Amino acid sequence: MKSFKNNFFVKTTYAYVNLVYIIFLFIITVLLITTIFGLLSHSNVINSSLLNSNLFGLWTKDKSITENTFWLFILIVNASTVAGIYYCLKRLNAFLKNVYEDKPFIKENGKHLKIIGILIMFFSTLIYLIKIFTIQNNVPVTSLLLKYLFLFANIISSLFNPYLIIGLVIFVIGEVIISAVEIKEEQDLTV
Amino acid sequence: MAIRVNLDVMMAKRKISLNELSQKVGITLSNLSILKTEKAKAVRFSTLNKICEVLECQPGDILEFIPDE
Repeated sequence: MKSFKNNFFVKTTYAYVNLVYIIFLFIITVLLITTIFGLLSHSNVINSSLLNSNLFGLWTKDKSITENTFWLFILIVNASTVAGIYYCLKRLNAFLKNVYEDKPFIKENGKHLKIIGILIMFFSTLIYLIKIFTIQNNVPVTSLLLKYLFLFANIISSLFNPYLIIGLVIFVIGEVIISAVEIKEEQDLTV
Repeated sequence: MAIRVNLDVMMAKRKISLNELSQKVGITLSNLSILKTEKAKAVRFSTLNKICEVLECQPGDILEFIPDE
């Protein structure tokens, strides 16, 4: 079997993900420091600090949305999504490390991919749903029936966001790897 | 699993070591050891054929079914 250490794409992907994993925390720390600095100083820089917190485009400049409690809720959602992304990076880094070390078919790799898939599905759906319920206020619809129809259509469309499909596919690949491990074990123990 | 492997019994009868048997059968020592210690999940007919040829015995002399109690 050819070694993955000689595979250009595996080497490059592992190096890239490893680099992103290492500098991710640094980038988030810088964002956090600028946000806190902006909040502690006065109004001129509050907008820019709020902009730092608007990582996933969850609010607009509409005054009714930028109330303190809602802003705190968005901050919590952003923080948990960033933590989720970091955990995904950690798992992805571990998975690529195993592949690079010529251990692609182990149960651990299957578990890594399944967890990554679940996290992507969860956070992408959460972000989309929040966007629907916050930015939906700006929809120029006069009829109440049309407004609710539009809301319903948006909720259904959140189930078809591309990250949900990507998460599902990654989850299924994880299941396939676990199945492949069982086949490999049986093959290894066939004399 | 309820299949007992009596390979060591036949090897003792024919006075042949595991190393010698693996060389004559043409499989690795580790694979033969997996079979002897009953860790194998499956045995190829070709392997069973070779073992019976070398040990001059029947498959039933090497493999025995023990019903679960």
